[in-house]
Amino acid sequence: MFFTMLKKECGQYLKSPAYYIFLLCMVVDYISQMGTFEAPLKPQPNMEYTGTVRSSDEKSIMENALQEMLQDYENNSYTTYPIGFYKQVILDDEEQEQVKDCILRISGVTEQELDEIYKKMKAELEEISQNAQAKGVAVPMPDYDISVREDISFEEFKEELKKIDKLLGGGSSYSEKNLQFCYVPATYEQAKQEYDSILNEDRVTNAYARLFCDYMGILLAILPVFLAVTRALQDRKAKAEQVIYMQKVSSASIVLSRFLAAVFVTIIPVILLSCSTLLQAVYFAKGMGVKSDLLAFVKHIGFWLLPTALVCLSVGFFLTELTDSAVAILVQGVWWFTSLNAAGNLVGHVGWNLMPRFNAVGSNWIYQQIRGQLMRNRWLYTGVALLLVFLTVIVFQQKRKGVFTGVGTMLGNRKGKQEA
Amino acid sequence: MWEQCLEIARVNRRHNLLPHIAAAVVLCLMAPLLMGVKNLTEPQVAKIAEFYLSFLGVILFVPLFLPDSDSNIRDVVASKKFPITGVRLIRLLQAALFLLVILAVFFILLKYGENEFHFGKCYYAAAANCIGMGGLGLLFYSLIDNIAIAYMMPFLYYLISLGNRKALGKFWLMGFSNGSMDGKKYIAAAGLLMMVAALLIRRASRR
Repeated sequence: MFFTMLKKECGQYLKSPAYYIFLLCMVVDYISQMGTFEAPLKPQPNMEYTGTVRSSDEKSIMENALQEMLQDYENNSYTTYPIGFYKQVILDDEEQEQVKDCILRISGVTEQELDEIYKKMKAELEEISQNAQAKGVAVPMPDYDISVREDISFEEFKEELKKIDKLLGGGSSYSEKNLQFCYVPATYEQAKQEYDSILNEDRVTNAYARLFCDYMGILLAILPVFLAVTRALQDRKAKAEQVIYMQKVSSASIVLSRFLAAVFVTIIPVILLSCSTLLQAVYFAKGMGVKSDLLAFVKHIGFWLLPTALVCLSVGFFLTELTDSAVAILVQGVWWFTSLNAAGNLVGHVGWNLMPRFNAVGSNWIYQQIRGQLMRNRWLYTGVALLLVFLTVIVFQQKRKGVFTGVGTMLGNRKGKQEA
Repeated sequence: MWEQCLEIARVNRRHNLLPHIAAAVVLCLMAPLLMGVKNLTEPQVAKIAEFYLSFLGVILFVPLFLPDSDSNIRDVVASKKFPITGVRLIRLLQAALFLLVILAVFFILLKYGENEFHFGKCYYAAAANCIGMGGLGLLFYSLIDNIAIAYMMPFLYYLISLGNRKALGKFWLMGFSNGSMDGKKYIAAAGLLMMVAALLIRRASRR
């Protein structure tokens, strides 16, 4: 009985125009972001390599932070994450002076010397820009000609930057938490190690599966809510609610069949889309004599993308059942927008973000570091989704009994009385 | 006649528009939590106008036909002497009025936050985007009669704008943040046209 209902529900989605718009979005996004397969380049000793590696060397952390502060001060634009979401802070003149004083204290240069450093950088950048235009290539930004004072300890340095973090409202690059490590340019040996890691540890396909999940996660955090709202409002629109309430099927079966059908029709196209990149990655791996992981994409879709889709669908079903309105789209829309802007670091940003970011092929060492976080994040959202589905069953059951008529209807009755 | 229009507007505000106005205001109030709203330059304010405030148009314009989604209510409204398209036009103008007021208050508050920007330009850019996105949603609502799809289409437009500038040409939503106001007149004009088309389609389809 349940499987017959499940099959019928899948049919309902396939008849909905919203589903075809959903498919179109997925295909267009996939083609624009991952349409062409870019194989990793094997590093050569004389090749310029632009990758970075993580370092916990105190001297490097201090130098990197100073360089960042010089740039932020010059642009008067500071990136912060006060409540986990991206926020750009612009300081007034007095506050900028405080940052400048901090730079002078940690570098030991005078105000005039600092002005000279900025002038020198400006001239250097102009020259670089002209050369870049002539050659038609992008050139990395050079460092400011300044260093951290020799006699400053790491603790003292952190105390100085803590004041700036407080001035910015917390959550900046200068917070104690963010001064635990930094990224430094990779050497040839490190670049070679990274390349070997793609071949041997990721077996090629896992590296591409992570990138695939990064792009698809952005869409799966918003688009399924439209499917859920469409389906949940369908009965109301057709005035079929009472007929469905009268059926000799449990509320759990009705809600679960709708939910699982939605999950099925959402995930199947994602798996199908992944086949194209999978085949290309397998072909590349074969050429390099590597035995690829054929199930890499399915595994990543299962544990990485599925929880995102589950949450998005469950929010849609629960709020629509509760309110008889499309408010779920607004709620999910706000969640999506804030999650999208929350990711400061596009490679390895997880935290409690609905869409963990990993916009890179490779970087297995970062992935190994965030794996625990990622698992906790995904389990949490799976739990949230299951809880919302359970609540949807309860709301549906109460409506069926006539105990609850939906928040929207109840407010409508109250307003009706007011109008009278 | 005027009294009747005002009465329709009053009832619409009370029964239909209020939750949407509340949602729009909440979205504006959330802005300081999500982004800096102090000491901003014009391109930074433009970014708020285009990336964030554009959604106000979707919130306020798209649910225009929502009260008519119940055929019983629609039949009652249609049986009245006052034309149903007139009622919808009043709702549309009312949504536009609230949008313009909310945007004005938002930008006035930004001015007080020591931000340096041209009020008129930013206001126009935000309003044009709202009209464009709202008009698109409304057009699809009139065509498909499905509120979820009506909300989905402006989202799709926004997503394409985020990812592919070239595909949209003059209709790129994020033009002002990148230094060009050229596209705004096209977005606003297209939005208005789509709103008019939505009203006509709705009347022709007798929904």
